[in-house]
Amino acid sequence: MRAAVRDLDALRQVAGAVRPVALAADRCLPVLPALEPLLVAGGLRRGAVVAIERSPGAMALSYGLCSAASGSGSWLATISVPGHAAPGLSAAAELGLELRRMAVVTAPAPSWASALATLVDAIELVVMVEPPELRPADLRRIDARVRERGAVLVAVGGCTTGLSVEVRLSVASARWTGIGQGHGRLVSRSLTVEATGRGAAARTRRCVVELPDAAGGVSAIGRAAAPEVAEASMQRAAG
Amino acid sequence: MNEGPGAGVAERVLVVDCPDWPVVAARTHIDAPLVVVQANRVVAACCRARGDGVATGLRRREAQARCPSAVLLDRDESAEARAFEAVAVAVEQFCPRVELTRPGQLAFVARGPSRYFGGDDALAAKVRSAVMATIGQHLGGDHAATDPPGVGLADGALAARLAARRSSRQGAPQVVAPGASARFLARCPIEVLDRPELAGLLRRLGIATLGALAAMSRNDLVARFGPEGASAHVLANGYDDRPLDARAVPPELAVAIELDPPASRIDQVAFAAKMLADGLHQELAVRGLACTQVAIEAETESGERRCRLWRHQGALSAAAVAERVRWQLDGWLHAPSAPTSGICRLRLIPDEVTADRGRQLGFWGGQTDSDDRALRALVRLAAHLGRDAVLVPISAGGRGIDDRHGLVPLDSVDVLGRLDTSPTVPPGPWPGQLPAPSPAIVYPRAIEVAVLDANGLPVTVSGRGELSAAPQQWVVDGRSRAVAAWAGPWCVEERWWDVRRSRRHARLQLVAGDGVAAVVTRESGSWWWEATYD
Repeated sequence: MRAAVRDLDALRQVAGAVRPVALAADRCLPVLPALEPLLVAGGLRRGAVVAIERSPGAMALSYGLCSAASGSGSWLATISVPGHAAPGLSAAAELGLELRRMAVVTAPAPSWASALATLVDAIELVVMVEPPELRPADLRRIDARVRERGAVLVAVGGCTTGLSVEVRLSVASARWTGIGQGHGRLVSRSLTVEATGRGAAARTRRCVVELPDAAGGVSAIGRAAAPEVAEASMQRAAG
Repeated sequence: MNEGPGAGVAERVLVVDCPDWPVVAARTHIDAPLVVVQANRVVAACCRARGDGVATGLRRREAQARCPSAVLLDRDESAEARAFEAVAVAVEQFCPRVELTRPGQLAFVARGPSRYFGGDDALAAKVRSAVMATIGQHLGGDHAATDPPGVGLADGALAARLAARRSSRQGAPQVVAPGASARFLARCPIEVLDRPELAGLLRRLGIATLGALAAMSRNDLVARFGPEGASAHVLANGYDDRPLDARAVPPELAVAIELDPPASRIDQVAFAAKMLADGLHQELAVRGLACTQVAIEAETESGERRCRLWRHQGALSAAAVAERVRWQLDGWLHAPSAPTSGICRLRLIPDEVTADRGRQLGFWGGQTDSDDRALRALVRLAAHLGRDAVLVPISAGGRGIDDRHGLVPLDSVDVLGRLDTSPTVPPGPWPGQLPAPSPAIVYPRAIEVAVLDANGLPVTVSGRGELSAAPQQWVVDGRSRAVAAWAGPWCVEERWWDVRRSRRHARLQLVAGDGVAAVVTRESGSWWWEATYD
């Protein structure tokens, strides 16, 4: 048993020595721990396009995804067509977005592609809400620019033909708690999110989060807290 | 890093400074006050606008408010460079090695020319009249728009710059006697160092003038402020801000590119220059050097050559070098003596290098390069899509669904400035607002809906705030949703004392079977879908 542990240590040392200096994770923008299981890299890989299927919870999920990166200094811009619903800023703030590094852009369909290209050039997190019909050629060009500039493009709803979507998120189920038949109020929503993608992300990942939770933020349900408790009790038993 | 103050050097420098050069370069014959803006900030203004209180750094809207009759122009840096080329050519008659700091300001080392032209005073007067004549030609005799160009001669570049500024105000060349620069500087406010953050901090520490700064111990300044403090101390003592350890430049650092076929358009050359500058920077970075002055040499097919020295306070980045190539060629290709053929060779020669000490970024976060980049993109977008298309959030107050934050046009907020301040605490507590979580989508114009009870009759709210019946379904545009859960109503009565702005409504939270959760409001006899918990 001892020998096995020693071998394992030696193996870890070797692994540490041969590890590349710049890991793929270094080129990632952080996400909240509760949402990490959805993304293979454990964060939003720079240059990636994330698509969120249009369903209840999609907008809040897009804020939640960007929240940690926005809090650590990245700019965020949302772009939508004029007259479309505006993002709820209170909800954005509750989900952890830094509103001082946020811009809300509306562009009519003809100038949408050029506006999006300008945003992607300089802003790290771009959330496009229900894009209008765009030419696939324009989208391909934007896709290339996202990759070149190391931005992250989050597409909420709409058509994404032409974009090389790395992760596709969809809400499998949404259940509100705290509200009844004429009593209570909306307190929190447990959201089951599924992620599929290309390459390493091809296997469907599933994650249940409270989004928003009672404070308007994001928290993992059950699963994240449980291992810690188990470990603590095991240590107590051993001691 | 261990030189004492005595180790400083101060060459005799002549500086020509044209205040508000962007206005001069614009050369529009509009009979109204002129203000030049860049990224929503005033960069230059003519005398009349300045008289109305327009200052550099003011926001566009503030400038418009102070001087409503002013015509606002966007900055055109290549036009500035083009116009300044004529001035540079005029000054080249006095000294071949002219250093350009930016369009509008140039300098040369005056020791030799001064002896040749009969002393400092004579040289300064001659340069001033030559520059005045050139600008007069450029403007076609319309001189009153801005202050006249200033010529200052002193030991050290900072003192010479300040003397030039004073000369511009007084309308006569200013010569500071040899060895008198420190005395000349002593009474100047600390802000003339052009480092706003350092100046603000020093002022709060009670150091308001360069004299007070010069009297401090250099070691203390280095310990507290690093290289920036050291350089400020050197400047305050009347020595040059040229890096003291300016070292011989290895000749192999010069880079050149042959353009084949020869380029006749500036953007072609600028593109090549960007690649060339990138290469130069990699070379410099490998050696741990930064370039503070670069010579840009362009040669045409028929052998014409134009070489200019460009100097920068800090280090020249690759993009800055490429920009200066563009300025220089813009000026050359549009001058009366324009080259007769395309440019076939471009050379960048680092003229002065210094150890790259890096740059200290804000300790507590604050602004970063990416903030700057993001703002510039947004300003560009606002110019393209219109002012109301690019909005930024501000914190506000109110009981409405999303009243705690408002959206305002980009140019009405100091976006970068507010990053440095702590977030403002929103006024509150606003009893009656919906508690967190807040809806993720808010409709700018609420959508009218029908909320029906089990019998298909509209649900109403009585004056006492009671529902007529439990809601069973809600209908929007002919699409009906069954209500799975609901809560409310919560009544809000706002500003009952104000006839025009008073508002009385009741809110209801509805959850449909498909998971859509909404806030609907009963007001003036109808139900309105205001927001969705998306």
